[in-house]
Amino acid sequence: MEAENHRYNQIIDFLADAMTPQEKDQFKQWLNQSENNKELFLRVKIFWEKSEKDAHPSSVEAWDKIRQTIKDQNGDVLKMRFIKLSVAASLLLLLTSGWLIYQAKQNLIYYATNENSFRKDTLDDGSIIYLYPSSSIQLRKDKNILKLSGAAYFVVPKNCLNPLTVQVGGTNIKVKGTSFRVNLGNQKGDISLMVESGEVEWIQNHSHSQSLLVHAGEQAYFSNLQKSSWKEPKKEDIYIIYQPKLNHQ
Amino acid sequence: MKTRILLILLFSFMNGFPQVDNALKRMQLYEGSVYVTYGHRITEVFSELDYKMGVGLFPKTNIAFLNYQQLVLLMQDTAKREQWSQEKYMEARNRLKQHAPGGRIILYVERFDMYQTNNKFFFIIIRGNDENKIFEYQLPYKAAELVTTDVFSNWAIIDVDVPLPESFFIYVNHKMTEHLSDTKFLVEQNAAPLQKPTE
Repeated sequence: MEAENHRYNQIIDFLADAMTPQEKDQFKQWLNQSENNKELFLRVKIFWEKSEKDAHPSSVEAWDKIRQTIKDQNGDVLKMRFIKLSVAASLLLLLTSGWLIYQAKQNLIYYATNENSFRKDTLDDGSIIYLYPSSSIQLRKDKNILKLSGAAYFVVPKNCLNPLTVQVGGTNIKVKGTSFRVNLGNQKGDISLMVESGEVEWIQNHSHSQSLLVHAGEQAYFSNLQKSSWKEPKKEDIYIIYQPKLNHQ
Repeated sequence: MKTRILLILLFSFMNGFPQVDNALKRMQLYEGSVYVTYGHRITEVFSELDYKMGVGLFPKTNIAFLNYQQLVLLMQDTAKREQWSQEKYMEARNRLKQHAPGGRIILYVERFDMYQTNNKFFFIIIRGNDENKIFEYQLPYKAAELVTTDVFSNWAIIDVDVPLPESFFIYVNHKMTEHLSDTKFLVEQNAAPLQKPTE
């Protein structure tokens, strides 16, 4: 069996022109030794030529094959590019979101008091906020918008860079060069506003159609239930706006 | 007799002006307390008053401030309400101009000793931001009033006869204490600073 395989290999090497001249001479001697050898050579030759034809398709087919290969490769490249771009976009989105959240946090200040404490804070523009007990403020530094819950006394310089907007109970108070006390009184959302110096524009809905100008020495009220407001001379002349931590008690 | 005359003079001078506001009497201040009186912001800078442990009470030294403009407005309101004659109005106006161009301080005190709560032991000093003295006033005799069995009170109205700056210090001192100053207040007129603080 091994000898037969060796013989087939020799015939294929001859047909494929993969023999040295010496090997070729030896092979030709073997071929001329018998008719059986010639018959074997012819059978292998026919098979070889058939196989060679299958192994070497036409140029059109070859081009088709080449094209398909290139197409597949391009598809893979595009797929890879898409994945890379997706990863890059995701990273960019993540970084941008992170930066925006960081910036928002940098621009956001939150203060709160418990039921037994007051708090005093001075903003960058010189405005002073005295926060009453059980109150909180959330300040957007970049837009100078302050959201108040509870009660606070504000001292806002006239020449601060941007007017301060105090959002309380769904209303907006726009201020500059004034001092006033605002109190989101109860759960119904009623608000009282007392102005000590300067004047305050109190906008009570988004369309600005309902706004009230409150002057020094006036006190204004807003009823959330009736969506109405009114003002009158202020009633309180003396009141505390800040008490320090009481060490004595 | 002399005291009676002084009291009559004092009450006639105060005629038409507000008495001590109950809110001023009720307030319990501590070092660092900030409050508003008639639009002006007042801070208690320090106080040497001792807490009375046994009774659980603080002595009180509370002040309120009205500026000259407010005094004039109050006088005009009173004149309208009481239908003053032109002569009476001008007389009151001149009195204010002469005696209170710097405004008015209202003082309310509470102590635990009747004798020491007499106004004659109290004196007031006003200093500017540079601590230079602007005004000094020795309160006249006025006997204490009884608040409860342990607490005595007194009050006074002090007109400042010199103009005052926008912010200044008021010292309320008692002659019988060993402290150089007993209570110091910072008064900021109009409360809202109009100029941005210099950086």
